[in-house]
Amino acid sequence: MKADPHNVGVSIVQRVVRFLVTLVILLGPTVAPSGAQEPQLPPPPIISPAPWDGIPNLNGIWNREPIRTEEELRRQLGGNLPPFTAYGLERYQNVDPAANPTGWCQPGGPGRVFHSPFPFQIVQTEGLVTFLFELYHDYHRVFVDGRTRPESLETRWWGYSVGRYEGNKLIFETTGLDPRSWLFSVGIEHSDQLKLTQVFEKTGPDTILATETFEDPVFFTKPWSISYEFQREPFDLLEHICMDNNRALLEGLYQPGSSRSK
Amino acid sequence: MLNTRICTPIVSVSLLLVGAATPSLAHHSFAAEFDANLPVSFTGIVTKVDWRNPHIWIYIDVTDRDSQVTHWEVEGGAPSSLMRAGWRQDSLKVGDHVTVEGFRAHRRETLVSMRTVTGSDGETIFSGLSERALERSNESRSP
Repeated sequence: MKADPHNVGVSIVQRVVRFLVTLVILLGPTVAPSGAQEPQLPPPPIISPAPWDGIPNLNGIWNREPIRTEEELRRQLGGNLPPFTAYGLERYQNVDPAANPTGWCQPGGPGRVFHSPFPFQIVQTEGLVTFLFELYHDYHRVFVDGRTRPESLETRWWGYSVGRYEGNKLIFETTGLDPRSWLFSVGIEHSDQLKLTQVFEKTGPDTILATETFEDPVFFTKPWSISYEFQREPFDLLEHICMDNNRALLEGLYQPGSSRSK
Repeated sequence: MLNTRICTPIVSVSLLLVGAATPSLAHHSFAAEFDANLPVSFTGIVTKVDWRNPHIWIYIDVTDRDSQVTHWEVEGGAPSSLMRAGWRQDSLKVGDHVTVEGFRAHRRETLVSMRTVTGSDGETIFSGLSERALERSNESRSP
């Protein structure tokens, strides 16, 4: 059932009280004296209430254990690789590490960014969910206002995401993804037919169970999924910039051609 | 924290046959820049710490028995990952005497991906850093 952002079912007073309670809870530890020797990292922002009742409050900063290696990905798939087509497998076996898009400061995209070791922030507003990624100081938006993906939209590194809330879940689909992007840092490629479905289920105050399903008839014989858990990060996002002192790019330190099959 | 002390830098550059902690071999960007088959270890004096994104760089001079100086360039993790792991911008200072273990770059013999940095007192700079966090810090190039 599509949530109606105008049928909030909660008074302004209730919202203010909820906000103040959240404020007190979050500010409490920061004003308490700390005996720690090391300088503390900045605390996370206040956890804002969800924009309307009946939907999960996903606001806050989240992180997870990253998937960076084939072994870690196989662990998610019962020891297997994704169900590649012959073409998909050939591409995977010959992918060049030196072509890694993020190694060239290109975006992670929604099929990869959540598997990075960098945290991100979710900001829920009426009709929109915005992800703020520490990785490359980037962002992504998911429309939850009932729209569908516009026709004839160009492919994008981040595609175009539309979603909805169902119970404790945010469900969103992304299409129109630029085939230059990778899925996972192990170098799984995809075509412009990729449909990525992501389900973020709030399972506790500090946990989100994420399930991702990848569908692409060019690269995969059937849809395949992984599930993992986000945990609330106790610190604020920090600064991560790709092109500041990126000596690998500035000085040409990559060695092309060391593909997996060689 | 390291105590800055004046010491005689003894050259201790050696290519190790077997790395105790090899990086994730399937990590593409690591493989694009560094060779996991070329672990390297050396001891010298920090001449510069460049705490900048997307990765920090540490510059270390190593003097051999013939007084020849080699300038090593050591690439570390992202500042944000290192900070979450407990490291700070001033954790390592110019003049510190350190031992570095890492992996050599494909294209430059004196350029290294840092795995560990240990002070002259034997204290690992990454003290308190879990192996997992250390790995995350160093692998953060390719999220």
